[in-house]
Formats: sequence, structure tokens, C-alpha cells
Amino acid sequence: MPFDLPKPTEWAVPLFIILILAELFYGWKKGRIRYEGKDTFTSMFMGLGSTITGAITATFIIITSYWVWENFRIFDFGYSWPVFVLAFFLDDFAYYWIHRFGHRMRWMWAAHVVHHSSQHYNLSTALRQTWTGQLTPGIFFRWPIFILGIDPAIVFFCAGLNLIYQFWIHTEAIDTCPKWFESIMNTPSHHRVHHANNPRYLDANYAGVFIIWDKIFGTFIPETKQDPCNYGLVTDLDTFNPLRVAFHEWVGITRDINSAKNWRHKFLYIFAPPGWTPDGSRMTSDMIRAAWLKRQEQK
Amino acid sequence: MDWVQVTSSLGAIIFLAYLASKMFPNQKPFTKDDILKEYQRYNPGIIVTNILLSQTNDTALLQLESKAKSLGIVTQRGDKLVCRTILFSHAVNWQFSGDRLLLTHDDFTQPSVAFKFSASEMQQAKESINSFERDVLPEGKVHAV
Repeated sequence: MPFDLPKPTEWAVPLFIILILAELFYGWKKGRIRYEGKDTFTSMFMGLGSTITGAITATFIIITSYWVWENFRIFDFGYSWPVFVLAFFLDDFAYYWIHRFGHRMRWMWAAHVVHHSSQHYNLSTALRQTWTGQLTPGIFFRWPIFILGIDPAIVFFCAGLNLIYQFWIHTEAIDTCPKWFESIMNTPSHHRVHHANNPRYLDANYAGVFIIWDKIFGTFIPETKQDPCNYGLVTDLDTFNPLRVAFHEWVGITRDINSAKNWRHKFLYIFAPPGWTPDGSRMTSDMIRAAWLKRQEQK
Repeated sequence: MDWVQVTSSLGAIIFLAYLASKMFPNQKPFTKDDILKEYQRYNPGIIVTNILLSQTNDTALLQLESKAKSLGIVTQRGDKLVCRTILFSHAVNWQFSGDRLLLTHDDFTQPSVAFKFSASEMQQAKESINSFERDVLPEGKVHAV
């Protein structure tokens, strides 16, 4: 890598541990937050595994990213501090779309589902990360930033900062932030909605740092006290085994492809939203929300 | 990322998980009300007619209104409940052994579920499963999602 920058997520590990300890004691004292031993272990172990798989595949990602930047860039933005600000903003925009596709395309969901697989919502959940993100097309969403002319090292540095920002929003300890902050930034309240499996909240609030992307693209849903968030998947996992957590959706896709009757169905099992089936025997988030809306109207 | 970072991270993970398990022990046994509430939250259109709660308090078999077509399964995972509805799409095997009932099915994160019932509850469970089997597949293989 021509421009050597520190890896923010590795530097932040001691901070993560201190904040989890703080939340554990706060939750224990106040009774507002719950942890569960095995759930905590699985979440944090998934985080460690994610770091290791990320390190294993880093060389390939770096080489391809620099190949794009060196061969196709339109401008050369250099390395001044405004470039870091611009890169942070553009990377957050790319993150919004990676994340949105991570929920709406089953191939990318197979990796991202891991992060949503805990029924708890606390700081350890933030570390429950995928081991297989590199097997998805997520990296392509950052290519336009390289083509624009920003050094991939700066983009990856900003992506690390983005992940660090997202750590603190995985908590129930903070109710809401000041109104101006809630209107611009992603906050614990907005992100609780994102992790909730209540029909009202499904597939909303994909933002990383700036919640404005959800407001611009129509995916923002505010948290409401009348419908407290329940966390997890629409079909929760019945395991704490990290291997099963990491690969369950990949196994599901493989089984579905093997049993598909034609190539169109095979294609849609990979690219359609999670829950899609040819006969509608499972439910996508859109179907769940539509059924919920219908029940609301009937009340 | 080197081995020192990996091993020290692993140590911190084990320490924090141990602390969490001591500070937030899973002491509260689940009741039929808890199970009903949670199952209906995930399956709002399905009417539960009976709940057979395992004597171990960590699994339950739910009889549903359309008993020939589906059965509910609720299991305890840590301090939370996990709900499944068994339909007729893929294979499920039921094994009876005294007061024990073992369900195995094609679910990657829930390959098997064990129940322990009293004699009367076991009888009800058998009736439900037999009815389910007979009505769905006469050859005796129950299929489920």
C-alpha cells in the first residue's frame, strides 16, 4: 500500500472492551440492559473471526482496489485533510448502499445476517460481524470512490472510522440524543430500529454515520415508544455455535439452489430479497410488513 | 493482526462472557404465558390451542388450530425463546423413548429438539404428531419447514 495509514478498528479494541465493561456494570446496576454469557461470547468471537478473515483477504482487496485506482481514476485528489473529510462522506454514502443491498439481496444478506442474529442489543452485538463479507460484491460499491481519484488507503481508513462510530450506537443505555444530532447522525435510537424485527421496523435505517441517507432515499423509520424494539431475525437462530452462525444462510442458499426447479429460480434464490421463494411459502420482509399493515387496518 | 493480539482478544472475550454470565444469570424459568406471547409475536395469524411445556422448561410443543398442517416448536436459547412452525415441506423425524421425545429436522441452527413430558402430556403429544402424520403423509414421514 503506497500510503500507509493505521487500522482504526485494531487500535480501538481496548476502547471496545472498556465500554462493554462499562455497559455491563451500568446494565447490572440499573436493570435497563441485559447481557447473556453465551450470546456475548458468540458476538465477540464472531468479531475476532471477522478480523482474522479480513486480514487473510486484505491483500486481495488492496491489490484489486489499487488496480482500479491506478488504471481508472479520473482525478488525483492527493492526501490533504479535506480529502479525508470528502472520503469519509463518500464512504458513508457507499456504506449506506452496501448495507441496503446487504438486506435486500440474499447473497449479501448471507454475510450480513450474522450481525443481526443476536436477540440482544448491547455493545457486544456491535462486534458480531461476518466472516464472509469478502465473498459478496460489497467491495464494488467503493470502486466509484477509487475511480473518482481518492487513494484506497484513505477510503479504507475512513471505513474503519465509520465502523468505530457505529460501535457506540449498539446500546439501549442511551434513549435519544439532542434533536439536532438525531436529525443528522445515526444514533442508538435510529439503529435500534434497524436491529428490530417488529414488522413496523423491518428494512429501515441503513445508515452508518449520517442518517440523512435514509431520509433522502426513503428508508428512515423513527423509533416509537408504542412499539418497543424486539431484536433478532424474523426466524431466530437456535444456536450459539459460531460456525453455524457464520454459515447458516450460505447453507440455506446452497440447499435452495440445489432444490430449485429451473435457472430462474436458482438466480432469484441468490439475488432476490431474503425469504423469497417461487411459491411464496416463506415471507420476505415486504410480505411481513404488508401482512402487518393489513392487520392494523382491520383493527 | 498477530498472535499476541489474537490470544489477548480471546482472553478478553472469555473474561467478558464469563462476567456477563455471572452478572446476568438465566434464572427465570419460562411459563406457558411467555411461550404463547412470544410465539404469537412471531406468528400473529396462528391460533395456539394447547401448549405442552417440557418438564425441563426449555422446550415446548404447541398444538395449533390447523393441527393437521402445522405444529409449533418453542425452545429456550439463553434467556430468549426461539420459535418455529413445522409445516409439510421437509423431513422431520420423531423418536419416542419413555418420557422423552426427540425431534430431528432439516434446520441448520436447530437440528434437534428434545422434550420431556409427563405421561398425559406425552399422550397428547403423540396424538398431535399422529394426527399430523396421518393427515399430511400417510406413509408416516412428517414433513416440516
